[in-house]
Amino acid sequence: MEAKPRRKKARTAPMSKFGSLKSHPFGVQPMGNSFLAPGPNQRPPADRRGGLGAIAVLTDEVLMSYVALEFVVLLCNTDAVNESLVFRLMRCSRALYVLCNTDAVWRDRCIARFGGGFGAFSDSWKNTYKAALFASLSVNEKEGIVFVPDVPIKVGFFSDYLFSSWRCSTVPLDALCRSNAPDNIDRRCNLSMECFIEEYDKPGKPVILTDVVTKWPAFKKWSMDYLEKTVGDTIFRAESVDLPFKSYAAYAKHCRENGGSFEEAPLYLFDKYFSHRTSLADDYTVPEYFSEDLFQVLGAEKRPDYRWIIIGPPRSGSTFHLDPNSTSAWNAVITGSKKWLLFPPDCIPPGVFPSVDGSEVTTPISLAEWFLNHYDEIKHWPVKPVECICRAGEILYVPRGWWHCVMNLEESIAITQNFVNTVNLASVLRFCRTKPEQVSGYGSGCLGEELGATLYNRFKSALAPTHQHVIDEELELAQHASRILTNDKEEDDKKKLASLFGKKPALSALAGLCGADDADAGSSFRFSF
Amino acid sequence: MRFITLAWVIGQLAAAATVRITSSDNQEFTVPHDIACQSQLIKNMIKDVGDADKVSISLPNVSGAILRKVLEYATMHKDDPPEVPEIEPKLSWSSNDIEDRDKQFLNLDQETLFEIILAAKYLDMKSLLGVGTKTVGNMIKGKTVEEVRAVFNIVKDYTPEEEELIRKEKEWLEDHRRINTNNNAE
Repeated sequence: MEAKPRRKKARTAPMSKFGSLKSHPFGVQPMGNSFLAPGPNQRPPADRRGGLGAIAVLTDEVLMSYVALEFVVLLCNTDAVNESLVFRLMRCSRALYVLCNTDAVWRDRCIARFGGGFGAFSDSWKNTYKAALFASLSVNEKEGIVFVPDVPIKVGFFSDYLFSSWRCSTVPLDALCRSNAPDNIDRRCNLSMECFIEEYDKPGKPVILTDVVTKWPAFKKWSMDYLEKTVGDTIFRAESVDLPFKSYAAYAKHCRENGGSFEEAPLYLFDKYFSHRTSLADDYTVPEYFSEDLFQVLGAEKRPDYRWIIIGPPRSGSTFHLDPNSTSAWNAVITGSKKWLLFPPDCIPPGVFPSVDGSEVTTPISLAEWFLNHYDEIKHWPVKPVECICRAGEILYVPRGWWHCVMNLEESIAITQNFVNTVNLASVLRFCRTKPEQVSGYGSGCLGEELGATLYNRFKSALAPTHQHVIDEELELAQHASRILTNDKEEDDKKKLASLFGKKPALSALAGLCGADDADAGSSFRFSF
Repeated sequence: MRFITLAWVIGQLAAAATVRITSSDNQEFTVPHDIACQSQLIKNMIKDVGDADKVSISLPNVSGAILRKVLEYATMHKDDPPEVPEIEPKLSWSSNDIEDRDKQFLNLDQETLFEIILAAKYLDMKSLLGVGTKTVGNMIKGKTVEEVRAVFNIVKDYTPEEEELIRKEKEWLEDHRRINTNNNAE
């Protein structure tokens, strides 16, 4: 009798915990795959050296940016010249074909050339560009020309940069953001004003309120279809581009129908003029908890920006940031759902690097990249951030100073507003006084030091009749704090975090000023992580 | 008069301030402040530190040889008037847009040229990136695909089927270009 052969386990490559990715349209593979022999009858993907020649000195990223922007902006001139340069490069080799043709390049070119006027979104940025170009021709000019939409040719190319971007575009969101992980945030309804102030506002603790948004007309009425019907021709702002809502809607629809994996960082509609250009603001009311709005004293035209409508497809969102001018905020989800991560003040998230003065923040380019590379680090932290999914009908309170990022898990429509109230007034005053060059919210970007200083002075004058005591207290604390020295910054940071939720607002302001020790350092957490 | 004197003194002190820059291969350069700050990257680093004299910057991405060329360009252009953003883009571009001194400066082997472009990008030096881009554009402009391949030593690796598909795409563009009467490039 034959002995049964022992079964050997075949070695398999470890599966990514996110499962296998769908194949890249140009056949891009990671550089490491170049060490693997191609299968029989398989043509090896293109490599950089042969395909780029002397141009191989440039990194993939720089070459793509070069082709996307430098050729358009710096060479300016007739677009025909630029296009012929790009198309000629593209025809040189497979490597150049892939690098010149990646849709991210065409997105930049499309927006650089057409702004928000690219019309109906096609099935890729490249075809949208071509269609817009075709549409711009006169009837005579169009005669005899056959419009040829682009179909990607799977030539094959080794590139870590492109593959990494592909991975960020296609990793399933629910696995990436751990949608099944339990939320660790309070959800409240029927919350009295006093309870909100004592339990959340004063200590600076996030909370989700579940019975506010559901009462808004917006909750009953709004959808992408509704908005397209009512404000389809109105201009909205999406990052660097102003475009009619219906154009954005077509783009968002394409993203959604591609299972949310069309792009690594989808174009995000984030618009502050909706209240001027439409009557959409009539469909919601500022909740009572957030109704104190001290920047109002500056007048409607001379206050920093404070309210936005936010619309985005799955995978769009905001990378880690602090809200401007040390204000607090609320974010109401009308449709869709958003994954939130919030880190307490002075607790910098992994992979996030603010500059010394706090005016700039370096983070991974896309949210998906952050989740892929840094999310797991939190597992080893002794103190976890707040994590939750805010769903349609819910509103999240973001206290001032909390680092946060937001990922849209589905196509979402939301409203957000920032505000100054009695609780955070001292902090906002201090920010405007000590960092005038970082004060933001008029037009685009920061005001500049002079205008920022003017804001502080104007705010101070306008508040004097009712809040002089707060202004005086803030200045007094600043003078007092500057006399206190601290030797051990690390200890201070730990104590600051630990004592955050046992603080009175005045002492929080003190701790924020200079990292001083305080008497309540030993108080226990009231916040459970 | 006192104020003018004071301003002059401060100006002289500022001009005398230098920055130490170390390349990826550990070559050290002591560079006047105003020349170093033609790089936005270096300018921002100095701002973060606060005191120009105490700043020592290391550039792991730029070799000594390339850094020397970049600083040569910055020195050549240190008295240039600040760039005024164009209200309307130029309507025709030709190689005449590159100054003679820059043409001479960038008359280099291709590898060095591309290394300089990479460094200009990294160091955020808009004008150097601009002349570098135009120089490369000049190398492509007016040439057939075969000629472009020859210039940069690019290997053609398409299959005949792929070439046909891309040619169809190019044909559409050629038709468009034919009717564009502003075209003065080809």
